[in-house]
Amino acid sequence: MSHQALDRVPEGRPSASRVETPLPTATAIEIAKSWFPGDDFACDAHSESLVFSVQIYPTGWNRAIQRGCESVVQSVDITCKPPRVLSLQIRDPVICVRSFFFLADEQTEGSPSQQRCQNVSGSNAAQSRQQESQNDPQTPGRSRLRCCAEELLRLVTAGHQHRIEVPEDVIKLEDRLRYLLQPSLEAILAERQLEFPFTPFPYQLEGVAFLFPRHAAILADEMGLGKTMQAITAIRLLLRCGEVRRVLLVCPKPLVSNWRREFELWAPEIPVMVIEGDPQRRKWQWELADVPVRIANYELLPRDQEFFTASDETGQTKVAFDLVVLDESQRIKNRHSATNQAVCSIARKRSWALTGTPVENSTDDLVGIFEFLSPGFLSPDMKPQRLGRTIADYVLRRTKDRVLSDLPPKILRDAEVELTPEQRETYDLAETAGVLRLTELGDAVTIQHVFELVIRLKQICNFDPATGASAKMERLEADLEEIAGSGRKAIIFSQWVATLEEIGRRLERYKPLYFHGQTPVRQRDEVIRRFREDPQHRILLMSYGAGSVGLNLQFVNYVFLFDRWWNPAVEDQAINRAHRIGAAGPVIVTRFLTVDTIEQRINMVLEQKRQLFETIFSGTVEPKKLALTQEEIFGLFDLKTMATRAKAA
Amino acid sequence: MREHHDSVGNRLALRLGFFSVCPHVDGGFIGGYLILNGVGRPLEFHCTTPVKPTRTQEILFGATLKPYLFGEQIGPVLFAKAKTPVHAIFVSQWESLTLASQISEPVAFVCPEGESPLLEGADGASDVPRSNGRWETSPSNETQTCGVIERVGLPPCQVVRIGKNRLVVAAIRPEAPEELRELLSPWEAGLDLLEPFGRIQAALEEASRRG
Repeated sequence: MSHQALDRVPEGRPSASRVETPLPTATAIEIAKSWFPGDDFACDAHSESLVFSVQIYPTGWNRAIQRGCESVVQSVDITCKPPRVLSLQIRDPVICVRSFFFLADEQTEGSPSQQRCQNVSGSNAAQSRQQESQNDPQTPGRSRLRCCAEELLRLVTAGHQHRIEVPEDVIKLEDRLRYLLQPSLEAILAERQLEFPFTPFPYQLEGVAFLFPRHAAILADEMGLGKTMQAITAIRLLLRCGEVRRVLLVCPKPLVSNWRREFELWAPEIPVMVIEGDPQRRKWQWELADVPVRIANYELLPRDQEFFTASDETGQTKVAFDLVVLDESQRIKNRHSATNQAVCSIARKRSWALTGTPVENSTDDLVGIFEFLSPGFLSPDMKPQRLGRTIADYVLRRTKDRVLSDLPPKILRDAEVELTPEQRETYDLAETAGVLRLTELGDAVTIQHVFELVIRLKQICNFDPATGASAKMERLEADLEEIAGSGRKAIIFSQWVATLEEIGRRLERYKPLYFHGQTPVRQRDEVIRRFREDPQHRILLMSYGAGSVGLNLQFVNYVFLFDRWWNPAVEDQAINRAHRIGAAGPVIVTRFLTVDTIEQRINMVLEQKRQLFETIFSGTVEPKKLALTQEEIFGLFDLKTMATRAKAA
Repeated sequence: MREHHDSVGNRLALRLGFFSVCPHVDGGFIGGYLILNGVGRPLEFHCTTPVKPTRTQEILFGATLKPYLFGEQIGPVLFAKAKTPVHAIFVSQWESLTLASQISEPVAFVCPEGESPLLEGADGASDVPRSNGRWETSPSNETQTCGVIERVGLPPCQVVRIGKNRLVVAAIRPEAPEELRELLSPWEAGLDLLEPFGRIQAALEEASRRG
């Protein structure tokens, strides 16, 4: 309806009479606006007068017109049923919450060991550490700057963060969350103001993060990557957090002083006690309380077993450790050995093993180590590939080529030399006679007989006993002239002291130093110091047994393996005395091998052992032969064992 | 040295709450609330079972569903379980800023590196439900005036920078941004307020995996 409808009468409708009905135009518009407030009424609408004339004609209807109107009312029900209402209730969701509360470990800051830590880390300790780091020869290629909390915070800010790994064997959710919710290792170290003489490499912090939460672990990094530092830092952190209070470190006897030095360098605030002396003193040392770290050697453990397994009147073991760390843990690979059994009898909560060579000969080696870590976890009949999968969460192994891109290369040279005529004659005679003798022994021949012949022949490969002729020596002297001329240093390894002494006599002009089993332990540090510092001494003559582990000789550029060890892992250990963190340049390793001799045959067996190691630790194809079997040793001379002969018969 | 110990002591006394919500594999959301001391050590952790909005909620709440779920449902339930009072609460989703109307502590959204504190996500969009039940984005309707952000459904907010952290602070109480600045400025050098959310996420994944 528009306002015009109110203003006008429709045309053509007849009018009964003329009636004047004035209706103000403005009023109509207002009414219309009030009815339709939203409509846009034209305010400028024209107005028309509502006064119009009506004419009435007599039609006979007038009476009717004059009658009153009859109104008929009709009611229409306009009400309707009320609509149905559908109510959607918006309920708040029911939310269940799991809560985990962690011990605020600032409480542990006040533990006795921690108090001591803070006291020692005062000015004197800092000064002595500074001095130590300035004198430290280990890392000539690295910054001498100490790594303090600020440096660690810088690493955190730069995004270099390593988180503590949760081991698979941690089952309870709250225990797993406790590790998962910790800040990064760098942040923890920075917050606890743990300083380092050098900034740790990222992979080293990864190693610490691996060890820290684990109750059973093998750190199997290749030699030279700093297993010692990683273990000490993890121990240090555990002590600071109050997770451990009594730690025992077991290592080979020659390495005890090395470990003590490393603790002074990397954790100077931790008191360390070396277990040594007469039995009475050792008993007292084992039982002494409040010593955070003790160092014992493998040789001692079987003798001291009664001390650390003794029980008190309540039946509790008197000596118990929160953590036992085995360095060079391949020493317990034989699970039936007295050392293995002594180590396994130590009461402990956590067990760690450090070794660059967890498998030296066969998978049995790993089984032996796991008897200490987690008894019964491995069985000797496991296949290498399955073994590798089973132990994956317990073992961390990195190699230099993977983690140290800036480590100078290790260049391996197999120097295959022909025996001199004199050597060849002696060698052939000895081998023929030896094999003949073994054959004559028939069923009585033992592996010991075979070994004796091997050793005899290997010695001839070094020096002809009759004439002293040596093809290896000729080659060695030629190489050394060049090395000495360049002012560099070399280590020469042999398995025999007699061979080392013979080499030493012929190289007198280079003033060689000796480091072997007959070198008194108290003189060994001095020998290493002189070799490092005195430019007159260019050559160190070392036996595999005494010098293959735990020594840091990064300043050496040349390593000679004058004869070969039975085990490639021991050779690697020897090589890695020089090729390790801090190496100033490439390390050139020369492995002498006399052609067409027992050495060449042994070398083939060694290569097979390398394959075994690769199978377990990198999942490559399983090698056909797992270890040097008795048959293989006999096979070096085309001999057959009794069992083989019986089978053939 | 003494000064250092005092500093460490103060920092150890600091209590910070971190609240984050993650989508759950079976649909819905799972919330986590982590309380750290000032040096980042965990003191408490609380997590919810998965919270799945109904279809009705999705339709009726529309774009306000997440602010409702995160800030008014999941968050308050988690905080109710906590025993350690905190000085401030940081959230990893802007939708959780509605928490500020529920609690008295300052609440701040920690803006990820490389993202504008004014925008949610790279395209500056907020989530609204689609009819098929999946989530899609629609243009955001926020403005900034003199450092104050206004977004429909959220309390007024203010952008605060502390060290490398950019915070969008719910300014229901006008003094909240300044309180936060005073609280954290002494340690702003190495302060990374985003890092704890990674821990919460890892913990929530672990909790989901282990039931």
